[in-house]
Amino acid sequence: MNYTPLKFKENALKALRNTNLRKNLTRAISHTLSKRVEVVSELPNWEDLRQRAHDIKKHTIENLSHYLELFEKRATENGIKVLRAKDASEAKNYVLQIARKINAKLCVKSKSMVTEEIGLREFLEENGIETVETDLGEFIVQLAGEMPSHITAPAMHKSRDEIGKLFSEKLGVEYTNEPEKLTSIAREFLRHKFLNADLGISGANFLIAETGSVVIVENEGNAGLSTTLPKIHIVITGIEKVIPRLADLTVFFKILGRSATAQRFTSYVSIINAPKKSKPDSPEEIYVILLDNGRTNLLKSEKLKQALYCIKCGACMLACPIYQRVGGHAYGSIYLGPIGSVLTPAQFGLDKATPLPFASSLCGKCYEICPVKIEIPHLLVWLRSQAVNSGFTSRFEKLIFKLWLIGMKNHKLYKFGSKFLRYFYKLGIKPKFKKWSSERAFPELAEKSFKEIWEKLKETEA
Amino acid sequence: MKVVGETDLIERFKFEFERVGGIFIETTSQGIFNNISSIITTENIARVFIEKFENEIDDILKNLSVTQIITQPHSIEQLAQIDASITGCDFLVAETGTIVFIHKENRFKSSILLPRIHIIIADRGKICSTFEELFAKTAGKFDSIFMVTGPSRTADIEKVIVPGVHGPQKVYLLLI
Repeated sequence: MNYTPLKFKENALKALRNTNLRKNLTRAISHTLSKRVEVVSELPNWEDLRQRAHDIKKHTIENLSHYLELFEKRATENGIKVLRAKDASEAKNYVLQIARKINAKLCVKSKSMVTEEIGLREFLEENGIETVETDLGEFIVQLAGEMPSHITAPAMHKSRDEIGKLFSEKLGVEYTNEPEKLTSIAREFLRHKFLNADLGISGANFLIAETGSVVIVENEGNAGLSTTLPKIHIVITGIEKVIPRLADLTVFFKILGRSATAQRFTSYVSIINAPKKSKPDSPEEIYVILLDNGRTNLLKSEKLKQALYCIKCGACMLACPIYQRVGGHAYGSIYLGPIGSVLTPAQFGLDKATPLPFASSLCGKCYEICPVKIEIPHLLVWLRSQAVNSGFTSRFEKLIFKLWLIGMKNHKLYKFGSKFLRYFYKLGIKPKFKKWSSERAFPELAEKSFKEIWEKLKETEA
Repeated sequence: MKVVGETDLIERFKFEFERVGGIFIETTSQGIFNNISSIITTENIARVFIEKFENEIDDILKNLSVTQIITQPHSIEQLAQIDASITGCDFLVAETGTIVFIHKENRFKSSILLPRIHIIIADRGKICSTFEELFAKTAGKFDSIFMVTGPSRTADIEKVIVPGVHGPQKVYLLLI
């Protein structure tokens, strides 16, 4: 896949001019957000739950190596094989080795951001292993040759007509735009794949340290099937997904569905401790690959550490006024929206994603909605300062801000500047910020400054 | 604190389970045969998988009039042919309307997910109030747990909810 976080501005502009895209986004986002209000307001202790989730995550991240070791120990005792991968290529090679061992031809995948992160599907296909996304949204995106545009609703940028056309083109079926019919076409097509797959790959929503369990939460049943039908199941997940106890799940059960899809609870939860022993159910072997891939960079930073609390629900995206308008693809990265604008530069390098921390109005909605209370706006501001200090931003902008600072610090200079500007303004000489004003009206300069009006007022009152 | 009785918990379970699209039927062990027979007619079911119950239910269900009854599946392909499965369960969680399956010999996750219809038979003693209670009861001692809350569903096309994308379209719970 082509990742282009450095081209955010161009991508965003293109997205803004795509009326169809904006219509699709508005429909999906407003629907989910209004349902979310309903299911969140039912819980009077929502704020407590957020705090508890935050505390559990904080505690785990502070003691991450302990809990990872405990998970590894318990899972291994249960008969699960645990592998650690420091980067994408190591993780992909593990998967390939396992696949080669059983001479795998067909792999079914359930939705996983980590596999997107390491480009696993493309890698397996290059190596001659047919790899099929089985989540309906991911399947649509795979057919279209695109990237997911949201964590939990990957095809929300597409309308039913677009999906209908895609299916008739790629699957050779008669055109229909009815969601029910499209869904059953996908069911039939994928059912065949499930029954013939020799390898199943999934992510994990949580890893439980005390029991060595893998927890997968879903609605469609595709993860359940991907992890039950093929002989081998490989779980690939980030090291930050571990939590201490099974009982901690009770908190996350309440917040995850509500935050991700505005549901009280998802249709299916699999808690997997050990390979299956009774036929015909599988898998005979389970592997868990714990992926670092830049996550320890965050762990080293007191500031950025908290971005690892993220449970990948995608709520901050839906709440973000920028995301609402440009959609997921504009970010040009795997992790999108507000948290993506923290994770992408933090994990892969600020120089590779400089525009993303600036792609925010800092309105704070992302923090308000975040179920684990990550202070996203603070992290964005901090990353901005890092970008400026490292010289990743434009020199011209830096100069302008320097001049502005001098003006703001010196009252006389400020007053002179404002008079000076107004003088030319009255003569009809106005500054032209072409790029800024091409899409919106340029604000008019008031005839009198606030200070002048204020002083006048004081005089009349006195 | 208010002590919540079993009947209240079952009411809560019913409310939550029906809210996610489950079909709740309260019955007796004598009534099961008629209940399931009528589901078989309305849903046009020809092939069923029946889990081992280790009680009189085994004998009752033997006499269902369908084309094929499977009790010992020998392959996934065979399970993929069935229209419905009839299984027991281990717990019911009232707060979310969730049905909990703990895996053991003779319980197949694929039999829960592959057919179009899933019929679960449970007795009232299976009810738990919350997940806290559930996890306290299981104490981490299991190979795997599968939780089902209503039918399989997707909203990936324009947020329209469509049941039965990969798993069952309909989930019936018969409570004895």
